[in-house]
Amino acid sequence: MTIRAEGVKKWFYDRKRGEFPAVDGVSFECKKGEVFGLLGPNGAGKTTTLMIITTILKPDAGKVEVNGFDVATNPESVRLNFGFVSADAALYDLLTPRETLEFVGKLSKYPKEKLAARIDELINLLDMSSFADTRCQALSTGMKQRVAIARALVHDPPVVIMDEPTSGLDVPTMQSVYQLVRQCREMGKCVLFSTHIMSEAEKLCDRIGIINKGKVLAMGTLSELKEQYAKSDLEEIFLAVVGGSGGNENNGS
Amino acid sequence: MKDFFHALLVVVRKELLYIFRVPDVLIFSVLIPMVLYPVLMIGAGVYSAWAVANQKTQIYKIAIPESPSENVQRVVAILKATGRITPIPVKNLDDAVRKEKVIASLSAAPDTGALEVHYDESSFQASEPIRFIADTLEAEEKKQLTDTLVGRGITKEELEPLDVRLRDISAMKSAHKIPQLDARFAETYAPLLRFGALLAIFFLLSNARSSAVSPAVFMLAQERDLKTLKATLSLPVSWNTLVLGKAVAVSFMALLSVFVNSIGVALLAFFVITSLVIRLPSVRSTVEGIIQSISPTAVGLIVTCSLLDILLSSCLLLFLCSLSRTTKEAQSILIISSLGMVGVSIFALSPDQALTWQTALIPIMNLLLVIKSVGTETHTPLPVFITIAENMLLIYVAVHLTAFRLGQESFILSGETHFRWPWQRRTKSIQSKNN
Repeated sequence: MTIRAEGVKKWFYDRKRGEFPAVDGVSFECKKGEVFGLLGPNGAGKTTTLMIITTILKPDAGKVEVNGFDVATNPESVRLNFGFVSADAALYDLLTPRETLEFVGKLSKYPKEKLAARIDELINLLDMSSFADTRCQALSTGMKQRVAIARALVHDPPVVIMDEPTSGLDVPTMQSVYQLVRQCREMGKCVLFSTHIMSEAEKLCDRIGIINKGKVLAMGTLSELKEQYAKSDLEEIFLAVVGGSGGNENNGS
Repeated sequence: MKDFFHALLVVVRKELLYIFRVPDVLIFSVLIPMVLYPVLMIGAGVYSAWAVANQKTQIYKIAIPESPSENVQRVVAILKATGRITPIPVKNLDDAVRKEKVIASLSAAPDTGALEVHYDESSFQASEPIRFIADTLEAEEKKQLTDTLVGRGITKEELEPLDVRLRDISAMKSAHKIPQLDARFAETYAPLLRFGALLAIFFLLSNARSSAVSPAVFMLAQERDLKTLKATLSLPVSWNTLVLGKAVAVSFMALLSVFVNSIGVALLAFFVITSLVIRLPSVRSTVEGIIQSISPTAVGLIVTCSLLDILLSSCLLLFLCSLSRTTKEAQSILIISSLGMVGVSIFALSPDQALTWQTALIPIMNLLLVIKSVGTETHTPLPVFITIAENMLLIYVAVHLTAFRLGQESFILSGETHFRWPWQRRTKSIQSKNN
């Protein structure tokens, strides 16, 4: 098992409501060579769950393991085992894509003699040659997202975590992201893919977990979900699961 | 350990690469000091040179007997040559001094023929011509004058506040020969110049602390605003290393600013010392004496303590930065804190403050005390050791506290969720549920 989450809970505080659960007992598993989709409306707790898996936030309860390392007790080893792509790319604006990749590659102890070749490989793979040495502040959203994906893959991690990686992208760039996710699966990587776009989950994910109000309400392959809810497409399943209420008001999206 | 240093270097390199491309930081930390401070220093130096030159035109009157003895005539000739002293022959020397017609009188003792200087002890101005007179004396005359004054009931200690400088003029006149500092001379000039040097170091340290504010804010608070913090925290490196790397980069910027400013301070020191040397050639030997008295060990200790102090300041600024909720709040906190650090270190300038094991425990202030004690060779190993050990411990604590703070959602999600105090956790929601 490459990612294993068991009864993960995270509470946030709101002046109006006091403490509320952003993640309320989330459990799922994601295997090697599998794309697991975390599907939910805005504010469902997807990002908070991913932030816990990526060791940015500590869980208030429950256990998460990435490639056998516990996020609470061994966060540094966990961080060596995944690459993270966030919705807003989050690049250092004044560094170039090449410098960004070098920085992450060196930090992740990727063999020094192979790093330059790896960076060139990713630049070619993601079609970044034309802007590899341009500062990130001058790049378009699509270009930035490609850099963010390259950054997540530069140290060739066994786990790739993507938090709404296609948000704000145009159709061709979205397609290239999908292609890349498929390539990751072919390479035997475990991909955790968070999204609120049904078609995306339908196209890419081997298994889907539907999350709302911090809870995983349904989980399985698309065919299993269709069978379980007796619906023909994912959108209908989703509405059936979340009850048509859409997102909650949690900030812990 | 190798991995730690490798990761640290990678973080430092990235932070510096990044910060050198931020125009604001470069302008405030490097360019403005690079232009402004040297200009200010040159201005101050030129002004002090002008002030000294202007002061040179002030001529002091001293009384001499109407029929001076041979040795008095010889000294008067030297005094006249300085252009600062006008000898006025009078009948009653003491009367002239008492009525403040002259600042002092120069005569020879009727019985021994030794030179005597009479002046009004209450007159502040008296010190100036007396210094001239004293500077003009030959070694034997100096001894005679001292003996005379001491013979008249004035102790050597009492001479000090009156600013009587005695030195061997003939030794000073030899252009390339550096006279040995005699004990009295070192006691009079050296503390003044040492204080000047300490003041310059204080200025540079204050500048280092204020220069660290902008990079510290940029590297932590602004990183959160630019939304790169989450990505940074998910990098394969421990957060302690990440914080220490940022602190080292902030310290580097502070040191760069110190380097730039030290050019200005050096220019100021050059102008001030040069202008003093014009007036009082003996200052040169004092400066050289101070430089000669600083051993390589002392330099090593000063450099070590300074680097640790700057790193500690950077770590403290980063920690304070991590307590803020917004970049503006961080800027305000850090500006006040850097001023606070300057305020704490001001106390070290007081002549009463010395390095003891108690004062060594006061962070930020103890560096100047170390420099003070090492500079005067009065240091004992224990307080210096305490200072170094304490700074290292505080750096360790500050780095860990900052890393701990980075992991709190109130920092990471600042602006996305509300901050909660420990007493607001759980209890409140349980209460509201019960209601």
